[in-house]
Amino acid sequence: MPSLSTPALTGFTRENLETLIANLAAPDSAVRRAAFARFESLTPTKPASSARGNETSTITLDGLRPFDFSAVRTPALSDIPDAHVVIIDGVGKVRVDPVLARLGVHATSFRSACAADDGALQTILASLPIEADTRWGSLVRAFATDGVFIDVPQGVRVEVPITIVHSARELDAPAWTLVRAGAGARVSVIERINATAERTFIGRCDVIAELGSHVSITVLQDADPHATVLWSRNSHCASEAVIEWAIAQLGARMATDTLVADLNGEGARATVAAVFFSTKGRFIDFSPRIRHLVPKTTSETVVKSAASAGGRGRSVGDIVIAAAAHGSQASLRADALLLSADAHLDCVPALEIAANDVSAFHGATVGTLDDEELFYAQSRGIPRDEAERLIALGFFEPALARFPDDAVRKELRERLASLLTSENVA
Amino acid sequence: MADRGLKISNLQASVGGQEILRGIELVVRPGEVHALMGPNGSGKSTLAFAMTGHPRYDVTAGSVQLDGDELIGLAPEKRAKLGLFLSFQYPAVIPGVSVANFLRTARQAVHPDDLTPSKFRQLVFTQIETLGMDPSFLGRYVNDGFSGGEKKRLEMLQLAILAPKYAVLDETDSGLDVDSLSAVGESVNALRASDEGKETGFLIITHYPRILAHITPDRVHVMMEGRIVTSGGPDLAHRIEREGYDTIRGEVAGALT
Repeated sequence: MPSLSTPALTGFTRENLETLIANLAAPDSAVRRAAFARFESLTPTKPASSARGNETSTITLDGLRPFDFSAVRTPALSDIPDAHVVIIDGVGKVRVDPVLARLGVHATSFRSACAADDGALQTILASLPIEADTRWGSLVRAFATDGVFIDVPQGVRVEVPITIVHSARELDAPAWTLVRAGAGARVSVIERINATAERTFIGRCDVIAELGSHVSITVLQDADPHATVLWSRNSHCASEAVIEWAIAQLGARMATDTLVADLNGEGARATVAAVFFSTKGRFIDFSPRIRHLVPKTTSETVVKSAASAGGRGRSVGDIVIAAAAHGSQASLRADALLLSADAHLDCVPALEIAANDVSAFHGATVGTLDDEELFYAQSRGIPRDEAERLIALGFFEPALARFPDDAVRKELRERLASLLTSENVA
Repeated sequence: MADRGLKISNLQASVGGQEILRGIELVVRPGEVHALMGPNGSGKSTLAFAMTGHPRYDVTAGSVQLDGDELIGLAPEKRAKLGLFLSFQYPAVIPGVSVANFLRTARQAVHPDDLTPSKFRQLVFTQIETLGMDPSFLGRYVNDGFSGGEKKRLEMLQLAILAPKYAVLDETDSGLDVDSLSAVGESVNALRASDEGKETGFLIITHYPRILAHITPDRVHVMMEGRIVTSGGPDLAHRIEREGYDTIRGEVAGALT
């Protein structure tokens, strides 16, 4: 454990990485250093000239506080009901679930997993190549002090979603979620991400779905409107495995979410459903990249985004079908709704197909609310602002309907409805 | 209550600067059924949209009063709240909004809190049965992927749920097969027989008299070139069926110039 006499780290710098390594007495120091080297190699030397306030290279990391050794806290679970694992400011707390324990499912923190010393976490981490990390993923690997580890043994089906929370309250400690589903296993994870004002919250989520497993990851990001949230996600699907990503980006001043879903085994399937709403000068970027690497893999991606009141956003979707991935099927649909004249959204779908005998579709639209739909609703007595809200909510529905949990869908509809108030849509 | 009625006086309207309505005069009293017939392009649908406040239709003169309240100048939803309903010839598709949600929102907007959730549910299922619709209809998105007949049945379902004081049915019979037409007729007659709808006045816009076999009109009006050129009883509809509009056009040629 870290020494309580060591001062707070300020900045994601090489010097502070060494301080962190020394304080954690981390056995993975070489990995952390290599990860930081990758982070540095991926850091632009100067901001893009076309930056419109949405360029993450403009983010200054020097003033951030990844860890405060002088004030190590143990988060309380009491204020976050129903969560299995909570990580607040880089320190985890686990609520033991007897049902999961009986099934042999690990739903724990990295620290607890290390303390148990069964080697599973280290083995999986070692299987994730540093050279595949994104810029933010590298930074998390270098600086993470704790994380969430969910490991579902072969053949085990977890019927109730496992809820985890990543929260940045007073520090900018990176967050990490790692999920492995053994062969034939089934698990659904709800990952909640929140951050207080001014925090810069950097995180990653890695999923390994083994043979014939079924993994569902639901992400609800609802950080303070002044926070910055930068996330990187990766999934690896073995033969006949299914990964379902359902991602809602609702908060933060700036949020970027880069997803790479690899289909590595024949018959693997990935679905991605994403919604985001950007308002009042905020910027949200959700960029999924689905890679069909072997034959007979399928993917379906639906992104629904809306912006109002100076909100901005971007969705750059990419479907890659490798030369070996014959017989694969892929679809990518990205639709954007502009709710005010000063809102801006870019939808850029792309297909990179190197194989013959595949079926691939992509489409994108950017539009405003339809006058005829509005008139129709108004002619039924529904006031204009309510009609706008109703129709805008309907716009999200094809993606919302793919979120796997009834309670989450209800929560999201209510949250979106509150975001679509006249205050945000004006 | 001399004021009661849907009173259209000297209504003139244009679309994109082109004058379409040239002084419509018409009164529909509570409980009455009026049929408005006329050839294509005579302005029937323009009348419907001008009355309901479609933003693309400019009313340049005249008035439309609903039980004494002037509708012209009001937002479409305010006209609906006063009791006006339009069954669209081509209803809009609203993806992602379920029929159930739309009906509930509309009913709540027009008749706030007048039905408990269970009473509302009962009303919806009764009307669905009347219209011969499958309850799964409620979970579908409004008009999304609907056949022509399904769209018209949804219009009738909304009519029944909203129980307006005055309903304008704009070519509700077009594109319907015999069974669907019969279901529409039954729905309107069921509303007229109900406590909530017994005083509803109807203006049925149609090309053909076949819907009038299901809903007997009190008055039939013929519209040509933006004006009502003649009116009569139900026999007028049968005459149009026999002779077409050309005979009437010849008779009223003077009025059209």
